[in-house]
Order: sequence, then structure tokens, then C-alpha cells
Amino acid sequence: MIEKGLRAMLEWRLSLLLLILLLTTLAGWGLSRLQIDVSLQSLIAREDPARIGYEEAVRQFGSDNITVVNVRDAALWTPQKLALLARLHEDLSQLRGVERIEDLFTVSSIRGSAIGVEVFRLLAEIPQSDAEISALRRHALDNPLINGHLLSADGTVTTLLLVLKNEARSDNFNATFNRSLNRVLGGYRGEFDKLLQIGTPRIDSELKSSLIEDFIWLLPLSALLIMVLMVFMLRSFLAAMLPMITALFTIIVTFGVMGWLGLPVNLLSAMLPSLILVIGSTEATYMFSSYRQEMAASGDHPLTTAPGTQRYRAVRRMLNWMTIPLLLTVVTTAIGFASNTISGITLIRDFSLAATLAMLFSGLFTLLLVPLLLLYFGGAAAPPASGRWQRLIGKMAQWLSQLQQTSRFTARLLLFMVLLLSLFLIYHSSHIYVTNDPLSYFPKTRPLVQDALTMQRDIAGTKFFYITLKAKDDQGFLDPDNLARVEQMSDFIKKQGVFDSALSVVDLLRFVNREFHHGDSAYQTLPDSRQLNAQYLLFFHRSELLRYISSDFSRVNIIVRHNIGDSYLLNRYVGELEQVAATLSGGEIESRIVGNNLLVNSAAEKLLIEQVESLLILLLALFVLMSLLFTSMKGGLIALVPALLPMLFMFGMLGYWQIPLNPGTAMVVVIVLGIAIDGSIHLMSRYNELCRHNHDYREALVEALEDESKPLIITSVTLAGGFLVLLLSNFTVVAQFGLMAAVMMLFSLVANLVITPLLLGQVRLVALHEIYSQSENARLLAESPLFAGMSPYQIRKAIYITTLCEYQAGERLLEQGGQSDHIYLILAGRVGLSRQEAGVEKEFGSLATGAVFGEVGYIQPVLQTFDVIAQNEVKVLQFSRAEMQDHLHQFPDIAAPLNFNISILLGSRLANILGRNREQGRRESDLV
Amino acid sequence: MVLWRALGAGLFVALLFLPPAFANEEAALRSGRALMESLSAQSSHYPWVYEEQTLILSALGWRQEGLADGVRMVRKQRFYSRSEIDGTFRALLIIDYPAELQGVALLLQSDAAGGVQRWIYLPALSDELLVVNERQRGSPFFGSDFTLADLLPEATDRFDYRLLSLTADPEKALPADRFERVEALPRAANNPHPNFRLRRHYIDVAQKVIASTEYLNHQGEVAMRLSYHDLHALGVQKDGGWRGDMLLMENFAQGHQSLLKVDKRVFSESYVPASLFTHDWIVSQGGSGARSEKWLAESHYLQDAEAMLRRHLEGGAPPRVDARGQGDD
Repeated sequence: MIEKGLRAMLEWRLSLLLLILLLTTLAGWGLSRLQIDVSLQSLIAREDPARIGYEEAVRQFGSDNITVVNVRDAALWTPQKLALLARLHEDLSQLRGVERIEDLFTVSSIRGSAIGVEVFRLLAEIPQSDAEISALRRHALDNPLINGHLLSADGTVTTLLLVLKNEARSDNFNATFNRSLNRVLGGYRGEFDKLLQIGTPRIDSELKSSLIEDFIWLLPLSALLIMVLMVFMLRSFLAAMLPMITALFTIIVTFGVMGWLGLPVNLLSAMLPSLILVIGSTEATYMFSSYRQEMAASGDHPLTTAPGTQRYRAVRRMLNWMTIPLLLTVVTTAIGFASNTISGITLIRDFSLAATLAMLFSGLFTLLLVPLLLLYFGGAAAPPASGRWQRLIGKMAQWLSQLQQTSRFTARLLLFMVLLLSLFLIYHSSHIYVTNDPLSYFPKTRPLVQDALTMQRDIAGTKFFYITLKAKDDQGFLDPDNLARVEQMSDFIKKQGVFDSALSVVDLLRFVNREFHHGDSAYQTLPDSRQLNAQYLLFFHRSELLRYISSDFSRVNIIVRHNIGDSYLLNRYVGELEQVAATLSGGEIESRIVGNNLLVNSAAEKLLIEQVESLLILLLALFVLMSLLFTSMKGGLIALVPALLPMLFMFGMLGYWQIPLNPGTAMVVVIVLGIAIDGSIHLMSRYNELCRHNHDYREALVEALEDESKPLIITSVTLAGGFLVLLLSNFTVVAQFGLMAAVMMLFSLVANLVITPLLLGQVRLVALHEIYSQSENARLLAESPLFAGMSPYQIRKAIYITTLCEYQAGERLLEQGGQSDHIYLILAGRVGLSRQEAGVEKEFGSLATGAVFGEVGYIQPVLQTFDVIAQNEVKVLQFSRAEMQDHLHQFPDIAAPLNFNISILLGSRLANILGRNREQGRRESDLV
Repeated sequence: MVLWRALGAGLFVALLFLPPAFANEEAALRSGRALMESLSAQSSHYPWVYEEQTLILSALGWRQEGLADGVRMVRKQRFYSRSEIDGTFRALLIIDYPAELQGVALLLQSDAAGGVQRWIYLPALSDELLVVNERQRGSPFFGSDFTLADLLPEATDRFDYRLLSLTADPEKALPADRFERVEALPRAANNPHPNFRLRRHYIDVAQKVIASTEYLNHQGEVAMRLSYHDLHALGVQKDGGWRGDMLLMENFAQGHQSLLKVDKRVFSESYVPASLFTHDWIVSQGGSGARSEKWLAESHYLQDAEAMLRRHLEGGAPPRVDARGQGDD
């Protein structure tokens, strides 16, 4: 069926080309609808219980979507600067999306004296005299709710916390808000010593703009480098153009369809062009190399495309070779990516869907376009000239072939060393940890990262999370015992020493208590009655309390501020907090630690875990498909080796050097796995194919390696070069990805070309499906005298050590005078028997499907008495005595009936010969 | 030459119109003050006021969230005010519910010269009345959105009032024949509302009542709005003006609102004797919890207040000064 389809494809090539162009244009129309969404919100699964808890906390205590603006000025406490600051406060409060601002202008303070108290908003009025300002500054620094939270210890830096509406997290909002904020701040540059801002809008905006910049510069640059390297290595412009053309079509259609389906480009799908280029390049290069080999074999390069011409035949043969491996690669990688389309995380689901589409389109365009382009422009595909690159690659291929011809002992020793290395890598892989921090995506020299560090140094970090505690009873947190638990929690946070600040209602109460006792620090303690707690809280406006305690006093919130970027560390510390909270609550209080950054972190970890799961599914798919191809689990396992080894190498190295797994490094595995799988499928399919024609498996292996190593080396080296370009990226994470991908690409090359062949050399793989695919073959085998009395299982087992060989008309299966230890069963076609007698070739009839020959040589080495030549396309099953003895001594239940059947065959052949001799002797004596 | 002539002509025309412009401003100020003073005089008909109030504090926009637990705070309180012939004005606010706050009191006293003194009483802290410093005058009290100045009668001598045409503000869409707009601009010293540049009163002329007041911050934006609802006519012949039984203060800057519902109002000296405004009486109100329990037993007050709030807020924007301004329940 596939063959018919391929033939139709070539015959209707012009119509097909027009159809492709039409459909591409149609799909490409969707590009105008494509949206970019780098927001990390899509990481958080809607049904995630943590998200529900988080949303509840936000509803209760207000948004944790906070942009921090820090103002530094040595002369901050002067009427002029405070007035400017007030203007800045007002301007910022006008920004769309700002729920409220927490700063020196909104914070309330209390000052106690011998006769009473003073409750006031710190900067409700800007004092004009130096003495007043100085007193206010001292008071602010003496207020634990202000010092270290809104004002630096030296009083020169103040923070304006812009609490943004929680729903204002969309990509568009972030960009617009960041622009507006920068515009406002721009108006004050020069007025203050320093003015910095950091929040989700800035981080997301910079992520987006950098991503677009990378898209615009790096991808074309990378593609250009790949093209140049390909031209150098393959000495063909067409070879370099093929992957680019297929990648271009795939990218247009994939992103166009994404536009139509409403799938946005997210942080993960931004990698799709690279993935498309990698998979597409490999396939196109294999196809080109195969085509070139076919052309080189003929030595004829007509420039016509008509059926029957050499170019047409070369394309057809190339398709015969390449279609199955190509389809296998497409199916395996598509299954791998599709496995995540049911993920609860929007980001992963969208990416999986997009990647699955990309893989399918890439396969489709490679299969359709490359043959057509070769048919039209393949004349330019000159056979490999002996340039420096080609000589080098040739030598490498030669060396690899020689490596496979080493002794069995050396091969096994090498494999043992690989096994040891694998164990070492597995051990270190267990130390790997996952982390995700948007700021770590950027290089340390970037202003954004520098600003974050400066802001943390000045006052406190720019990240927040909540610890919410819920009492069993209404008004439970007026109870001094419960408040004491909150205090213990806050004290533990201080002891941990990893977070910058933790503010709760406890701090408010302790402060008020102190001030109601004339500022005596001995009273900076929690009141001992619920009445006093309630009465002290009257001195704060409800909107100020809202962040810390619910109106019914049943829930409290500790606001923790920090600058921990490493999600692994953060999760560890949060884990400690959770344990302490559980211990302190004693079952009376329900605690929860929530925050958008915690949700994103946990989702990012889940994302990486899901990626690893998807890799496992991909490996499983590969295993199943290759096992089916070879009707052997061994085949499936061997196919996994070149995919597993680079993965192990990478995880092992990450574990060894304590490098965390982040979205960038995790993506390397996906891409390298793609290319590794591609390489192993091609190598094993080629090997399988060659085994049909070559009874010597080792020879077939060497030949397969010679055929496949060149395209694989070329693809891996060029793609590694392409990935190295990513070192120029705006993102550290992408640069890391580029470097790791390049290294992994080369390591996977070694795995594919050294280790897989070594393993293949150790086992026997037979594509049973080839034999059983036709029902007449199955019938033939069951009815063959060779397998008489054997069960289907015994037959299948026996076939494992056979070789399926194909011969074209005129090809010689056995040569007169030669030696052979093989026995043959004809599965299809007809062979002729002939012998040279006194210089004259005499024909002795022919053997048809089902016939067995060569049994004498199988029993004992003898000189062949006949030539056996294929009269048409012939398929034979070939049994080698050496192989048979080697393998079947372990399976006497198979060896015994097989040998018995062979002996019957031999006996009947002997009886025939004796009968013929007797008949001849009788005729001769009659004649005499 | 032509340019100089044109400039001269322009100047001449401007000078022609200048005196009437000044005259208009003068008239606006005069009529604004007259209007506010007439309203102020009307309130002086009731020198003794006793009110039982329910105060609901909640976040702005809480209607969208539903009346979920924990998003609002309810208090029951008593309010006493007494004006003396010598110009002294005293007001006392005592919280009865919740139990933890029972007895918490705020006492204010202003004299004819405009001097204001404030004390608070926290029964759980001590038996002392604590002086509250003058700086608190512009700050909200007891966590609500009302300021101390809102408890006091309008100090007309500290503001300039300017009557503005309603048609000047097309956004309001108020019937110009019924409402007046008066801007209250603080004079230099002793501004009772120091956090605001000016206040803008919308006055229902027919009913002689302020229907709504907007508080404009120093940038000229409406930061808060106080609106009066559930208006009731006072006096036997209903000639004593109108009073709102429900006041809603929306604090846009803080995203918060305070609803004050007057459950009971009595204008009687016997309800507000001078002895109430003393240390001993105030201290005697704290601690037992009996009042709180009594109020809880009559918890229909809370339901009433909430029902009223719902009626006002459901199905549209928060109450604004418009044709519905008259007691629309």
C-alpha cells in the first residue's frame, strides 16, 4: 500500500506540489492570529488544589501580585524630595491595574506618650521644617512595620509596593503595565539618586521581548550556520536547502495551525523551530544521502524526471529505503509529545499539541517535498566529491567500520566499560534536582538581575508568599494562645534567616502595645487578652488589616518577602515552614503556604517531571515499535541504547556537577532524544534491510554503518554547530540549552555509531514481520518439510537464526566449485540450476517457491556442484550451520526436530540419487 | 503693526468681560455660603441627638464576592451628641458589639472658638481616658472610613463655599432644577479634612439636605464619597428638613467602604444628659458584655442593615447622587 502511495505521489507530483502550496498558504493565514504568551500563569493547572487554596488566600488577603518600586536618595527626608515622592505615589496610583499602593503615604503609625496616643498616617501631610522631618524619620525608623519593610535602615531608600489586581496577570497586561510604569518612572529619573522597579510585568515583558529578539536573530543565524556547514560537508547547495525548505513549510503550517486553533506560542513552543529543524534536517539529510548513493551507484545523471529514468528510479529506491524509518521516527516522536496533551497544565498541553502537530507536519513535508525536490533538482546533487570534509568523514566512517570488526572479546570489553559508565551515570543522576526561576533565565549581568540584587540589598527581596492560618473558631485569632503560635512561626522564619522579612498581625499588635505603654520596648509583646487584641486593632484602617487578618479574625496571614530564586532551595525552606506550621498548629489551626511564585515553581517542577514522563513514553513507544519491527524485545532494547545513553550522560553530569535541571536543560533531552531515536531507527532499519541481501550479518552491519554514519555525522555536527549559535541568546537558559544540546548531539552520535553497532554485533535480529507479513509465506513455512512436525513457536524460534535474503534476477545464490554451509528455503521466486561441463553451461532445471536446497553443504563442507541463479526476484530463508550450532544447542527442543527434518530431507535426497543411479544403471545394463 | 493692533483689541475685550467674571465668582461664593449656612442652621434645631447605629465595614466591590464570612465586620454602637448654648459641642460614640470591643468609647468636644479635644477609652487597657493627639483629626477612626471630622457639624467658618452650576459637569446627569453643587474649599488653618483639597457637596435643594459629598484629593480626584440614603423627613409638619438613616462612605483610595445604618434616632435632652460625657459614666459602660448580648439577641438589626445595603447595591453601581437620592426605600 505504501509503495502504491509513493508511486502515485511521484506520478502526480505537480498536482501534489500545487496542493501543498495551497494548503500551506491556507494554514499560513493563521499566522496573523498567532499570539505570544510567555506568562508563567499558564503553568498552573486550573484544578490544582494548591491553586484553589491560593485563590482563596488572595480573595481573603489581597493580591500577591506586587511590583516593587525602590527610590534611593541621600536627601530623601527633605520637603522637596518627599513632595516629589508624594507626586510619584499619586502618579503610580493612577496606573491601570494597581489595586493599591503600600508605602510611607499609606502606612499608619501610632505614637504613645504619657497622656495619650497619636494615631496618624505617616506622611498624610509633608512637614516643612527640618525638625519635624527629622522627628518623623526617627519615628519611621523606630516603627518595626516600616523599618526593613518600607524604609531601609539608613533611611535613604524607600519602597512603594504596587499591589496589582490578581487577575491582571495576562501577557498583554504585563507589557502595557510595564510600559506605563517605565513611562511614569522616566519622568522622575534625575530627580532621585536611583529609581528601580521589579515585578511580574517587567520580568514577563523582558522575557517576551528577549524571546522575540531570539526568534528574529538566533533562529535564522542558526539555520544559516547549519546551511553553510551542510554545503561544506555535503558539497551540495541542494542538500543544505532541503532541510531548510521542509523546516520552513513545517514552521509556517505548524504556527499557522496554532493560530487557527488559538494555541499561543509559549515558553516551550518557542523551541519548536529548533525541534523542527533538528528532526527535519536529519530526515532530509538521510534522504539526500540515500538518493546520492543510488545516483552514484548508477554513474548516470540524466536531467529528466520521467519515470524510468535513473533519477526517477533513484528517488523511488530512496523512498523504498527511507519511508519506513521516516514513518517510524515520526510516529515515535509524535506519540512521545502527544502523551502530554492530556496534561492539566495549559503550558504543557499547548506545547504538546503544538509539538505533535509539528512532528506530523515535519514528517509529512519531508516525505512529500524532499522526493519531489530531488526529482526536479536532484541533477544538482553531484556525487560526493573528495573534499577535505568528505575525506575526514570517510575516514571516520572507515574507523567506525573497523571498530565493528574487532574481536568479540574486545567488543564485549567495550560494552562492559559502557555498562560501568552507565552505572556511574545512573548513580549521579539520582542526585539531580529541579529548579526554575524566571530571573535565572537571564544572564547575571543583565540590568533586571542586577536591579533585583540591589533592591534586595537596599531593603528586601521582591518576591512574596503567604502563610495563611485558619483557626477552628470565629474570632480565633483574637485568642492570645493562637496569636502566640503565629508569633512562634514568625520567630522561626527569623531564625531560618533565609527570608528577608515576615510581617503579620503579631507585629502590628506588639507595636501598638509598645506605643500604648509610652514606647517602652519591654512592652513590645503580644497583649494577654483577646479584648485588648481586638481593641488595639481598632487603630488600623480595615484596608491595612485586610492583608494580615480577616474581618472575623478567624484567619491570619504572614506575608513573607524574599529574593530566593532557586526554586529547589525555596521549596526546601517552604517545606521546613510547613513542618513547623503543622507542629505549631497542633490540629487546632489549619495552615497553608501559598504564593504565585510557589505555584509557578511547583508547576515548573511538575512540568519537568511530566517532560521526563513524556520521554519515558517516547522511549516506550520506540521500544514497542522496534520490538515489533524485529519481532524481538532485544531489537527494542538495542534501539533504546543510543537514546538512553545521552540522557544518562546528561543527567549524570548534571547530578555530578550539581547543575539543576531547568526548562532549558530539560528541553535538551527532548531534542537529543529526537535525533538519537532518528539515528538508531535509520541505522537499525538499514541493517535490517541489508540483512535481507547479505547472509553475513557482521558484513551487513559494517555496510549499514558505512551508509548511515555519514549522514548521521553530518547532521549531528551541523546541528551541534547550529545549537552553539544559541550561546549568543539573551537567555542564560537558552545558552545553556544550546551548549548542552551541542554536546549531547555529539555524544548521541558516539552512542549511535559505536555502541549500538557493538550491541547489534552481539545479537541476532531478524525482522520476522518481513517473513510473516505475507500469508502465503506463513503457509509455506508451516507446510515446508524443513519445519514438519514443529509448532508455530518452534518455527518462529528457529527463524530467529535465519537470514532473509533477496536476490534480483541473474544474481547467483551458490557458485559451482564454491563452498557453503547454508541450507535455503525459497519463499518467493524461482532459481535455476546450471553447471559448467567442459566449458559448456548446462541447465539442470529449476526450483520454485517452497523448495529447499543446499542441505548437503549444510551437513558437511563440500564443493558446490551447481550454480544456483535467481531467475526472477527471489526471496530465500537462509540457515547457516555455524549459527544453527551456535544457538540451538541451548534449545534442543528446536534443534532436534529441525535436524531430524534435515536428515529426512537428506535421506530422501540420497534415496532420490540412489534411485536415479539405479535407474541409470538399469538403463545402461539394458542398453548393454 | 497688525499684530500689535490685534493684541490690543484682545486685551480691551478681555478687560470688558473681567468685571462681570469677578462679579459672578463673588455671587457664587455668597450663594454657596448662604446655602451651607442654612443647612447648618437647620441641624441646630436638634441640639440633642441619640442614635443606635449599625456599622458595616467591608471591602469595596465585596458585593461581587458575595457576603462571605470574613470579608465584613459588623459593629453596633451608640452615638450621643449635645450642643450647648455657649457653643460647646460634645459627641460620644460607644461600641456595644462585638463583645471584645464593648465599652470602647470616643469622646469629642469642640468649643465656640473651634478648639477640638478628643479622648478614647479602651476598657481592656486601663480605666483612663486617653487623649488623642490633634494630628488624628484627618484620619479615619476605629478602622472605619469615617473621620472624626465627620462626627462634627460642618465648621462653616473654616471653609469657603462656591456654588457651581451642575450643567458644568455633564457626567453627573443630575436634574439641575433640583440639585446644587457646592465646593467647600478649606481656609488656610485648621482644616478639619487635611487629606483633601476640597469637598464637593451635592445638595437636594427641595429637601434641604446634602445628598452626597465627594472628597477630592490633592490631585483633584475623587478619593472618597459619602452618600446619604433612606432619607426621612423630620419635624411634625415635616418642615424640619431631612436626614439620611443610612450613610455610605466609599473609600476609593483604600478600596474599602463603611456603611452606617441608624436603627433608632431620638432628639431628646433626656436621652443625652450632660452626665454622659464624663469619665465615670464612660468607664461604667465597658466590660460586662451585657449590652453586646442584648444586641445579639436583637440581631435583626444586622439583617436589616445588610438587607438595606443589598437593596442599594444590587443590580448596579454603588449609590450615587442622582434622582434616586431621595430615600429610595
